[in-house]
Amino acid sequence: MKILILAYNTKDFLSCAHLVNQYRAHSDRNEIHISCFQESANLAKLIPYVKQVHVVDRKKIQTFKSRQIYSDAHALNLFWNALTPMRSEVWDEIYTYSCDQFTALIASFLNTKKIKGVSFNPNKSLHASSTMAMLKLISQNNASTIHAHDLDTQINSLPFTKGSHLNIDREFINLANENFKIIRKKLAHTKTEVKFVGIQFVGDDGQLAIEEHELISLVDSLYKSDSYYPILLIQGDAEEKEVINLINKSFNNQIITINADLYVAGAVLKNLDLVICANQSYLQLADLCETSSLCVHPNTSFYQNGSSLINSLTAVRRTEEANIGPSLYATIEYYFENTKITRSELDLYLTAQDELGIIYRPLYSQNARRDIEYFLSRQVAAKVFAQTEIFHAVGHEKEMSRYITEQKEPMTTILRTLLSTIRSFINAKNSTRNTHEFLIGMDKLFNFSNEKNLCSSVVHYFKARIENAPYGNSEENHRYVEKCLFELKNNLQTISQILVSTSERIHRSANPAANTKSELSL
Amino acid sequence: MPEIVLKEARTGHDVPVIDGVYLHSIYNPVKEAEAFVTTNMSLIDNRHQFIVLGLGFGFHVDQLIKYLVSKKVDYQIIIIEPNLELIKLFNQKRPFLNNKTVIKHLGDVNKLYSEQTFLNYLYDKPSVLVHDVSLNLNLEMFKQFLKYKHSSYVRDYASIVHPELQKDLLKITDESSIDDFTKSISRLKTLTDKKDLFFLAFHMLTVEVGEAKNENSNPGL
Repeated sequence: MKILILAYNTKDFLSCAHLVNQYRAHSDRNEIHISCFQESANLAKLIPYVKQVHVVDRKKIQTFKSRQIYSDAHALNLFWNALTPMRSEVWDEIYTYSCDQFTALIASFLNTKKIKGVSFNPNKSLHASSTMAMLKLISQNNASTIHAHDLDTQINSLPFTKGSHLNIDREFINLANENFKIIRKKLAHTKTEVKFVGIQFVGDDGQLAIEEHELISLVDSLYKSDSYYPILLIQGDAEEKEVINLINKSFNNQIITINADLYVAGAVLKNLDLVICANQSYLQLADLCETSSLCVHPNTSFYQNGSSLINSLTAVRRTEEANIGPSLYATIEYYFENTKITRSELDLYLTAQDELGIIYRPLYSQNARRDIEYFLSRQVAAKVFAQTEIFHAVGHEKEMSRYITEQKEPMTTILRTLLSTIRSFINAKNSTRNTHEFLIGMDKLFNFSNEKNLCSSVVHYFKARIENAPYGNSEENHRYVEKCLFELKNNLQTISQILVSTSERIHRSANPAANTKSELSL
Repeated sequence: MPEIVLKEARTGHDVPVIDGVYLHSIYNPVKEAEAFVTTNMSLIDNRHQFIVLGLGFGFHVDQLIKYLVSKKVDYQIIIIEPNLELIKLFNQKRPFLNNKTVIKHLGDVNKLYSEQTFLNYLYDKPSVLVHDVSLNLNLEMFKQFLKYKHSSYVRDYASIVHPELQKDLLKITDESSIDDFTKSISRLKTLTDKKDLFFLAFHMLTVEVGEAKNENSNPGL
């Protein structure tokens, strides 16, 4: 099969390597092409089994369009020429890896037998090839509790396959191996069986995710330990160099710094025992190199794009003020020596797997609310979108009970609004007043998708389905809207059942004696 | 076009004179050219692509090349010169010996700014060096060059668009821009031509800042 993967997302571009592996594992006769923006072109060379990379120089096209010394004609021509090699093929399958409107437009423009992901209907509504594709589309801001790889696995209907290698230049690999051998030899007299810990400290926003004083604290602990050795990883920008100079001053130039862009960093990562990282591309590279990572996240939305390597760690700052250096060191000790973490300024999560795919289990977390929201939302997503039952004991029974109680009001409001909307919908044929009430009801339902509660994902899904009604004629649209309304009703009832069963579990675990007595009496 | 007279400098070099204006020093054009490089060093150092406004008789460009070769820079130079006769005379007397230095005649500014290769060169942000004497002699032409703005009306550039796109764009005869055209496509109820998708994608790519945005609140167009 001739397959084209459209990957216009630059932040998590490297993750599409897993998709390539899936296609390749399915059949080694599959001819796989990728289309990406110029910014990702270098990284695309790292991905094995790709026959050709079709590059769209977005920045150049934008410059030609925005600056008046260039004619819009040149911008148009540049874009047209970039798409021409893809246009001249008839693809067996196009996969819209970057699941957004732009990608859907390109996919629909090209000639293909099948599109997996999103595309455009002739009536200009977005068409999702499956429920998971629609979910991926509406989760563009990392709002999903299902990992991106699992979404792709479901959309693609191919089993998840780990990458076996990257196309890293042999020369770089040999050089890196040699250099690390030398370092190990030099350290042999002070540190036996040394573990190399890489530290990459600049986040996706270009700012320091680990501040200087925290880095100094961490580097100091690693440097003085018997078992670990810090290696600083930079990509050469000015801010990084400033930090390195500061650290070098503090450690008398004894700390090794490796300045390597992502294209060669893989050779270094393969020699590390653990990498602490703060940026998405580095994290994905570590996953592909099968190097465990400890990713420092600025916020909680890591569920969709966190590490997919089992036993990797994710750390979320609890406060901006605390020095996380000692906490990072404690986490490293936990990772290598299973030392218990008794105190941390970080909430820590371990990458694991369940029936739905990648899950982040709290290892040390003081944010019970976050964990409860994650696990319950995931349970809802699994049941509603993947027809899979999953359950994880979260603990925090009191907080869980509080959370469940808090969900009742919005759920009741949404259900009430939904039922009245359904009534108006059914009666709308006979009266304009009902049509008017139906429209008001729909508007209210759509607004619920902006709220933050357990029901918002299913309401958001409902809204996306309505806004992209595929039919041109009113009768078919009418049937479609009716189907969506009842689907939402069923989904809300599923959430209600989950809340009830969770409440019952909490009650049973709080009253084991009562349960035993009732079982005995039976 | 005013007549060009060649006069001999004290160093033996030919120096063109146009309308009584010497394009280079009649005493030592080479030394003057060396000073040109020194004065513009902040624009030359660590750069490898240049636009030079004004050919003169090339002495300043020779010194620039000499400096770049000494620094082992893989350079490219485009010289913009409005005087065609001067260009012809230069090419007769002391042409540049390789294709790393190219002279472009600034005759029709529109035509120059329509050349894809020239625009690609501009995109790489070459350093701009000015031969003051040439600039003053041809101030209006250079002003046109430096302040040039393409028309944003489709009718003014449809003829240089790819032939496969021309069919759609040549129909536009009013003062519509490409953005107006794509807005009209987005107002259609159905898309009848696959190229509509191309224009909508182009609009999304060029109007949105950063990643093509997916507006979840209104995913359709």
